[in-house]
Order: sequence, then C-alpha cells, then structure tokens
Amino acid sequence: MKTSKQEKSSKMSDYEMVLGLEVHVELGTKSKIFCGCATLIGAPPNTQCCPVCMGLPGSLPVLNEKVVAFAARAGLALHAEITPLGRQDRKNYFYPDLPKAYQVSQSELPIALGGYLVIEGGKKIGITRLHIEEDAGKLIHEGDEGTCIDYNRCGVPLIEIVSEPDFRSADEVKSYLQKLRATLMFIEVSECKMNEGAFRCDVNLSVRKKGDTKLGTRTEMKNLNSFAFIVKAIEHEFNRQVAVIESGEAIVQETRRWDASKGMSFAMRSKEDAHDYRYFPDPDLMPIAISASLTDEMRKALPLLPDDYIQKFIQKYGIKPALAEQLVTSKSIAMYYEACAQLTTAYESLAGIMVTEVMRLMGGEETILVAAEDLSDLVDLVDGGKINLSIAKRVLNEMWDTGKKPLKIIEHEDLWPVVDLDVLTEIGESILKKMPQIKADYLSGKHQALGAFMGQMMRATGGKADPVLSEKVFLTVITDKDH
Amino acid sequence: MKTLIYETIKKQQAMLMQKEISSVALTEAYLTHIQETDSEIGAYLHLDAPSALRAAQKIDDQRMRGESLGPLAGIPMALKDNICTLDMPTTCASKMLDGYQPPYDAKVVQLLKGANAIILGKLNMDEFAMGASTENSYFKKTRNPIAPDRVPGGSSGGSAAAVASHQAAYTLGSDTGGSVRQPASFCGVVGLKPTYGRISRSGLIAFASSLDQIGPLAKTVEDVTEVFTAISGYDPMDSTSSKAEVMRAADYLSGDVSKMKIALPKSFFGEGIEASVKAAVHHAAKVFESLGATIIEVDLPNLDAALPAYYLLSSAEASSNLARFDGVQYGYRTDAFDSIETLYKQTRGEGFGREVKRRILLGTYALSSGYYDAYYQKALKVRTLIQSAFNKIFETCDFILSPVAPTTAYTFGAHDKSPVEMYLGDVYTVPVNIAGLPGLSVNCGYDEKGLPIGMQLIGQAFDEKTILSAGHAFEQTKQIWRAV
Repeated sequence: MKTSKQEKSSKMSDYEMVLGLEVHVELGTKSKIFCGCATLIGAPPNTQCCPVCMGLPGSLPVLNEKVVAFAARAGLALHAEITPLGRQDRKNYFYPDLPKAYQVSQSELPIALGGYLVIEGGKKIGITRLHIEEDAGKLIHEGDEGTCIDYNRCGVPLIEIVSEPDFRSADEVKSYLQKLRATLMFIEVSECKMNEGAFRCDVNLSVRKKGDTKLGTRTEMKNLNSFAFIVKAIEHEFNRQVAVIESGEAIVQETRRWDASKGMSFAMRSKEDAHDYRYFPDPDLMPIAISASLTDEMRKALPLLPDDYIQKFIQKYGIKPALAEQLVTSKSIAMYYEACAQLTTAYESLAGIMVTEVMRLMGGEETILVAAEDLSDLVDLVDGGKINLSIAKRVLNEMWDTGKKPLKIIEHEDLWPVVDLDVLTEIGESILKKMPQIKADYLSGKHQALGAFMGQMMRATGGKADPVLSEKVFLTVITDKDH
Repeated sequence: MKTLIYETIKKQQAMLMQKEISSVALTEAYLTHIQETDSEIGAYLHLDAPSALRAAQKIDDQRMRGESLGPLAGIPMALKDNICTLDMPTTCASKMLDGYQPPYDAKVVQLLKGANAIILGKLNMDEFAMGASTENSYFKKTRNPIAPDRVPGGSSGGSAAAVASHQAAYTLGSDTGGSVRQPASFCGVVGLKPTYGRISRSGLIAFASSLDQIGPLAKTVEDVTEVFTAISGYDPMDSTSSKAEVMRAADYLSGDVSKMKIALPKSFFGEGIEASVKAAVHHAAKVFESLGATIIEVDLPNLDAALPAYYLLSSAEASSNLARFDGVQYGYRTDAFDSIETLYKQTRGEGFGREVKRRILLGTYALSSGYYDAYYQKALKVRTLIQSAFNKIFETCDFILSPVAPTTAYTFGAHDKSPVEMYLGDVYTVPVNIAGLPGLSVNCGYDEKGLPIGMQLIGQAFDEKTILSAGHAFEQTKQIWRAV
C-alpha cells in the first residue's frame, strides 16, 4: 500500500512509541529452583550441577520453597494479587542449553497477577503478571573446538515480570527499570547485578501516529542488560520503525537482537518461525498453594519499599522528588541517607553529596565505606561554609580509602580554607599583575573574567582560597586606583 | 540346589535364616539357571554375575556374624531396564540409550540395596515402556515361558518372564497403563501396581509422569507384598510421592475377605473379551463368594473414554519427557549432521523405534496450539470423570474385580498391522492408572491352550491392604479355573 504524500512528509515527532517490558530477574536463593546445587556466579564450568539440573533421565524436580516465598514477596511489593493455587508448566523447545528440552515455567496460573509500579513523575505502570521459571545453561563457543555447554546456570531460579504496554518513552522505561530493580533489592529477593545478567530485559516496541488508539505491529528485542543499552536500543528501534513506515512498508513482527558494539539491532526470527511451546502442566510438580493467611503474613512482613522512602524523604526532610528518586536507587543508599539524616540537619546538602560523590565512589556496588557520622560531619562542614565542595570531595575520597575522620584529614593535610584577607589580597594582586587582561576584560564588561580570576586563586592556593573572600579581594583590587 | 529357585521368597528366606543354604549358593543357582535358560527366554538385557556374587558373599558374612537381616536379604532379583542403576547400564531397551550408565541409583534401588537384595541384572522391556508385548525392544524378543511362541506381555515383559521362568525370585517393573499387571497375567505370576505416589519415581526413566508407577512381580501375593513394603514410602526427591503410612507386610495381608463387598463392573465383560477370560474371572468371583464375600454388579460409566484419554495423556507427557534424548549430552548421537537441527533430527530419527516415534508424534500433536483444548484438556476432563466413577463404586464396595486383559498371551507379530488393536488390550488396566489406584494382577485360571489368565483386583487409593488380603486369600484356596 502506497502512502500519500502528506503522510510521507510527516515527521518523527508525529509518531509515538508504545512499549511493554518483560524483565527476567535471577532470585538470590542459595540453591537452585529444583535441586540443592549452589547458585554462585563465576564457579568453574559444570561444577554446580547434578542429575536434576542437568536433566538426566529419571531425575525429578523438587520445588525450592524459598523461590516461591521470594517470588510472592516480589508480587506483593508490586501490588499484585497472589494466586492461591498456582501451577508450573512445561515450555517445550529444543536448544542445547536446555537439557530437558523444556523449561519449567508458568503459563496459566502464575504466582502473581495484576500489579503496578509508580515511576518518577507519578505515572503508574501496570504489571500484567509475575511468574517463576528456571534459567537455562550457557553455550560457550570455542572456535574450532566447537561449542561447549556450562550447565551451572541451569535451574537458577528466575522471576519474569511482564508489564502492560504503558510506556511512551525510553525515559519512562529507564525510570521503571530503576524503580523495579530498587524494589527487588529492597525486599532482598535479588541483588539484580546487571553485569552478571541477573536483571535483564526484553523490550516490545511498536509505533503509531500520535492520537491513534490502535497498536502497531511490535518487535521484540531480547536480553538487554544495561540501562544505557536499553535506552539506545529503544531509540534506534523507534527510528527504524518510523523509517520503515515512512518508506511505505510494513513492520514485520519479529524478534531482534541488539548488538551493543555496532549500536544496531538485527532480526533474529520472524513470527512465522516462532516456536509452538506446547505448554502443559508439569506432571512432576504439585500445585503451588499459597493460602490467604500466608499472603497476609507476607504482606505484613514486607520491609519499607522505595516509594515509602521517597515519601518519607520528601515529607520529613524536604527533599525534592527527583532527588528522592535517586536516593532510593539502592537500599544501602536509602538506609544510609536515613542514618545520616539523624546526625545532621543539612538534608539537601547531604542528599546532594550522596547522589553525586558517594554514589560515584560506590561504583555500582552496595557497600559504603564511610561511617554515617563521618559523612554527616563532612556535610556539616560544607553546609556551614567551613570547606568548599571541591575540598570536601578530596576529603571524602580519602575518608573512603582510609576510613579516617574528616577533621583529621583536613588538619593533617592542611586543607582549611585560606581566610586571611591580607594573604588573599597579596595573592590576588600578584595574579592581576601577571595577568592584566583579566582586569581589562572585567572593566570592559566581561564579567566572566571573575571566573578566570577565581580559577587562578584556587590554583595558587591548592583549592583552599575562600571563595567569598576571594571575590571580595578581586572587587577591591580592581577598583583600587593604585593598581 | 537347583530346586531352590522354584521356591518363594518366603521359603528361601526361611532357609537362609536356618542357614540351610547360603546366599552365594542361591545366587549361583539362579546364575546357572539363567545361563541355561535365558538364551531361549530372553528376559535379561544385562547380567552382572560378579557383583551379585560379591553382594551375596557379603550378606553371608553378615549372617555368619549373627547380624539381623531383613526379609529380602540375600535373595536374588532383577530390575526392569528403565530403573536407573549406578553400576549397570540402563537402556530402556532403546538404541537411544544403548550403553548409557546413569551416575546414580534410583530410589528403589537404594532401598533394595539397603535391604541387602542381590541384584542380578536388568530386564528386557518395550522401548521406553511403550507397548504391551515387549516386541518393541530394540535389543531382542522375550518369549513367554509358558508358551515360547507367544509374547510375555509388556511393557515389563522381561520382568514377568524372569519370574515365570525362575530366573529371579522377584523383579521390579513399571506400570503406566498396565505394564506390570498385563505381563504378570500373560506369564501367570503376581504383579502389583501400587497407588500412584506410593513408590518413589526418582530414578525411573519417565514415560508418562502422571501415570508411571513402579511395581513388584513375584510368584505369590505374599512375596509381592514383602517387596512392596520394602520399596514404598515417601521420598523427598519425588514431589509426587506420598507421605501415607506404610505398614508391615503381614498387616497388608490381614484383611478379612469374608466381610468384603466386591464390585463386578458389567461393562468389563462385554465385547472383545475372550470367553475363557470371562469364565475364569467369574469363577474367581464365585471363589470369593465361597469365602464369604458379597459380589455386587456395578456400572462404570465413561469407561469407553478411558482408553483414548489414556493414549492422549500418556503420549502428551511422553512427547515432552522424551524430548531430552537429543544427542547432545548423553546417549546415541548420529554421525550424519552438519547443524544442531540435523543433529536433533537424525539422532531422534535413528535412535527411536517406530512405536516411540508414533507416540511422540501423537503427543506433540495433542499439545499443539489449537488442538490442546480438544485433546489434552478434554482427556484431563475424562480423567476427572473416571476418578469420580471409581470413587462412587468405593462408596459401597471394598474392591473391584475384573479381568487384567481381554485375552491371554498372543503370538509374536499378531498386532504388527494394527497398533490400535494392541492398544485395545489395555482397556481394563488404563482406567486404574488414570485414577491413580492400586491394582493387583493374580492368576485365576488357564485357557484351553493352557495359557494363564489373570484377574485384576482394584482398590481405593492407598488401600493396598484390601486387594493384597483378598488376592492372598484367593491364592490359599488354590481354586484355579481351567478350560476343558
């Protein structure tokens, strides 16, 4: 079908994207879903497996009760209904990393149905379902030697969380994933380490003209495991689909693989060669019974969730919502903030240092190497104007490395700001003598020359010049007729 | 010494305890007999004489030291070749698993070893337990010891033939739709399919997980009961195994037949049943009456749906259970492949026999998108109906008396042209698996050719006591029907 000229001239901004997500999360149970094998990451290949997870003939699965408890807790944290009598089904397909040639998953009666998650800005994203399933092994391609199989990951418990197609931008997706990840970490069902594949995401994306109510044909991008990739992959796929439609062609329903190194996605398989998984109830496993009273008990036992902390931070400490969102991206950050907020009242400065400097030093890990009282002391020093932010950063780095108290570091390394007006004036005069252009610029109306002066002051004092006094010195010196 | 092998477990154990014989001597007697007989019968796929003799010696030593030993200690037995053994191959009589040796013992094997049983070897069967004549074995035919031109039944044909030909004091089989009871009937021995969940399936290579149950075969109900109690009980490795209490063997035989009400389902004696089979089972009913029991004729509605439902459910499960045999990790792998796809296709095409392929195709079809509701889902509904029909009967009756199979043992190749005809032979046994009930097969007569006829005693779930007590009482009367 040809498109009309008018349609052809339409722009990117005339389209909107519609996205739904399927997120797979490895649960943090010590043993696998159907056997007692360990779930440690990084063990030598095929050292954490047994007849059950290797699918040997005659072996039978026995459901790990912890997996059910973790999955139900996740369901409750996402405001979903817990299925009283759940079922496990076999999803049949052949692949060398799947030793039984079926994956035990849940089709009709998943652990939880119908929840939601609120993302930054207050939008509610619907959650269709949450179910448990087993992970597959890993294929390792060894060049000429062929393909080897590591069965260690077989039977590692997963939950799959399927969202409604409620997203309209990559930012919303990112915000949802951050909140989802934080929620699962807060309730301690998974460490959600993305670089280890413990939190990975399939994106279903379609586009349509703004104002249309009918959904377009969607594509699926599989196994994205970094926020940056996800955003890039979404933007790329949106552009690709709009370009396809604009050229008058139709979107093919297919699965696409995102190649991060090339920054492109490639078609893997189309709907025509999609598997018929022949789901049916696994006869080796009993129904998963979760009574209403147990559900209530679990609901009551839920710890504070990211949204609870956000409310608290906004209401109790007066933090801005966007900053509060960032403070709950990890449980250790939220709890640490809470601990520091008992020791200082400089809540805003504390939050600022937390989301910039402390999170930088954490580098994606969950450990904070500075005692709450030490960080609060440092924040008080900054907030009270005793030291500036760049000195504070230096001090914090050292606190992180050595565990020393901030005052000790400042004393020992002589980091107190230079507040002696005579000393500052002397330095200021010598700078302006060497660089008369600064004065000339400033007097001719280029007020950014002050910045250049401040830079020189900081350089000359090793960053210790008091900024307020330095500015005063500048203004005094340039208006002084003697100079 | 040779006559020892004709004795029951009970007698052999008494002689061992009295130190009239040693376990080594008993084991040697069996091994010698197997040597002389099995080239004709073909019950064994694998024999491990040295291990058996070593185990026997160990038990003799223990006995000499005065250690107390159980009722199966030192008695030679053998296993159907779909029960995993650590120290012997386990092939399911399939090319697919030729030479495969599991890295673990099935739960029943662990229990038997714990009970100091002597395991002689592994027995022939229909490939992956699919069949009713043991003709589907990849390796060889097994002959019926009563009539060597006839099949021993199946799929546990090797297990029944070994007991009937005195090549083992008892054996284990597995029963998915009659595979213990029907060969027991064809070979004139006793076979028990216990309640689903009684015996751990851990280490039993699955055919149809929701129907499979391991069961013992032996010469007498008493012997079968002894083995049954030794291998029953909850196993945390099998989610479908039951925590129901397991009693001592003697308690299972202590039921009072004179107070029992016995259901005789009219529909089991209609079309397709041989006259001699009908006569023999009716005669057995008379015998029970003479023991004081009451016979009540009953209806078993929806029975005609049981067979198709069974073939849909069992094939559907099998299509998934047997998908793991793909040539990747273990077992047969084709030489001719150039991609993972051809590896799968060629391996499975070459490794499975015709009947197994037929069932995989049927099961795959039944589970396919668009057919699931019409076939698999409907079969599940039939299953519920059959279960409630049985429950209804048990509201008034203690057990159900029926034939095991509509015919006696047939000749080799009799059903080659029509597999469906052979499926029809399962009509009396599959409803019991569908409902998860216990069923006992006991010889009750012989037809005009001298072929054994079995009767089936069907009990309530976990009430093996009633059928074992009744079967035992019947045996004591020795009133076996014979065609004239």
